[in-house]
Amino acid sequence: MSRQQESCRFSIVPFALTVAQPGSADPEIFAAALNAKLKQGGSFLRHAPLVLDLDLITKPVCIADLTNRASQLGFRVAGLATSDHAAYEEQAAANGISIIGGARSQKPDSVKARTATQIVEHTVRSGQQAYAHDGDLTAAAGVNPGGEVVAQGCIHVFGRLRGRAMAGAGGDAQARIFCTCLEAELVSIAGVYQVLDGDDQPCWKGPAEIRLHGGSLKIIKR
Amino acid sequence: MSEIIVVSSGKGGVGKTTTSANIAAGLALRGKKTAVLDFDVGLRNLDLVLGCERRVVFDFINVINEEASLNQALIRDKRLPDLYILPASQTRDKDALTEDGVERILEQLRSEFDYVLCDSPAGIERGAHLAMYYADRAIVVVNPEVSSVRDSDRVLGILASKSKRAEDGREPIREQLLVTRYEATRVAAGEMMSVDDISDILGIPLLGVIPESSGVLEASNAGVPIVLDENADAGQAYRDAVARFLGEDLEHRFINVEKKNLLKRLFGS
Repeated sequence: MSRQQESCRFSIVPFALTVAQPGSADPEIFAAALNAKLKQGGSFLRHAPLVLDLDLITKPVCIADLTNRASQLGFRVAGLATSDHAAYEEQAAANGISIIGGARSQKPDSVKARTATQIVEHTVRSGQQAYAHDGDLTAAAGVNPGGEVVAQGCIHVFGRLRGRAMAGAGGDAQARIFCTCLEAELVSIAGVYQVLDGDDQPCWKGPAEIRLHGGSLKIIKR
Repeated sequence: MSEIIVVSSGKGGVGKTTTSANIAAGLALRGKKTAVLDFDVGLRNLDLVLGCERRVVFDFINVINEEASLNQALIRDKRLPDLYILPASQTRDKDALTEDGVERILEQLRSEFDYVLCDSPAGIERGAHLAMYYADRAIVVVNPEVSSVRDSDRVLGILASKSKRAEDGREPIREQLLVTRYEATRVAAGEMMSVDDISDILGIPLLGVIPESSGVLEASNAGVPIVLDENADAGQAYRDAVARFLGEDLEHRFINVEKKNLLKRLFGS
């Protein structure tokens, strides 16, 4: 038997946890919300670890009040999520819970600004890559063989798409590729890719849309 | 206003050096004072194609290292008084080319010549980069085959983004396409890419089409650029290309299969 097995093994494993975002610091309101959740059929949450996300609350919060009300209802508060570490460090330690992460969620008033579509005016030539890091990409003059267009969002190609197009580069399975003339070497959405050959493509050299459906790419005539 | 022209292709063996020699000789024939520089340090060929290999004393690298003056290294062509050649060094490699040295030489040549042609080495590395970096115009040489077209496409992308003009945000390099080793009969038979196929991908104006011809090889071996031979079809094609380069509007020849006349049909061409 190896020594490692005798003592302890360490590894980092990401877990899915339920996060509760109270809208107010009032423990009674919080308790009512938890109760409502249980009545809705959230009984599977009983005894389940719960993360309290405090970023919706602007007033100072008494952590003990909230955790007590939660445990009375059968929830176990496993950790705190807050963008203001310093404000809750002491309370968290006193209650024996840890601060798990920072601002996990968007505050409702900070609506995310629209990211502009990246427009490539020139032909994307062999060896060139156009990358829209946080939005859509429009290639207005086509993509030549050996050229590459990549976007976190959707890709639109006017003219011929003869190189590679990779949409949803950050993992967005809803991203799509549209082109007026499909002659691509490779298309990919959210990491699912397909190499294309003209012989077996019904929309070859015609307008097409590529989307991810049921784990595989669908090429649709447009 | 004098201009610096790079002759480039990406792929090797498509006819960059032949084209550099012929366009330079063609410009000199038209009375333009022209210098042609061999950037292929370590693989010196331009002097052979122009027939001055026995007259090389100093080379490009000697001038860069200030071991010789530019005028000492430039070789004046014996046939064309307006043509000068700066040969590459055969014993050194591309690392001997420095950005400052190249810029200094090109600026000096610009002040003395109408046209300065830079014969780029194959590839997209240092030698090719420095050959195109200071260019005002580019002649992109391509053979009618997919690999050559793709490499030229790559070069066009680099010309548009990595040249000094691009970096300074000035007007981009003026690019023109020269198709070499073109065989109209094979294009008609569907064995070779047509000029239209090539233009469709590369999308730059066509400077000329040079037909495949045994005369080109013979001329290169003899050190006489084919443009000097008025009877050769490739020579005529280069003359046409030079005329278009200078702004003349000529109809393209050698693209379509020529109908053989009766005598040729009977006795072969």
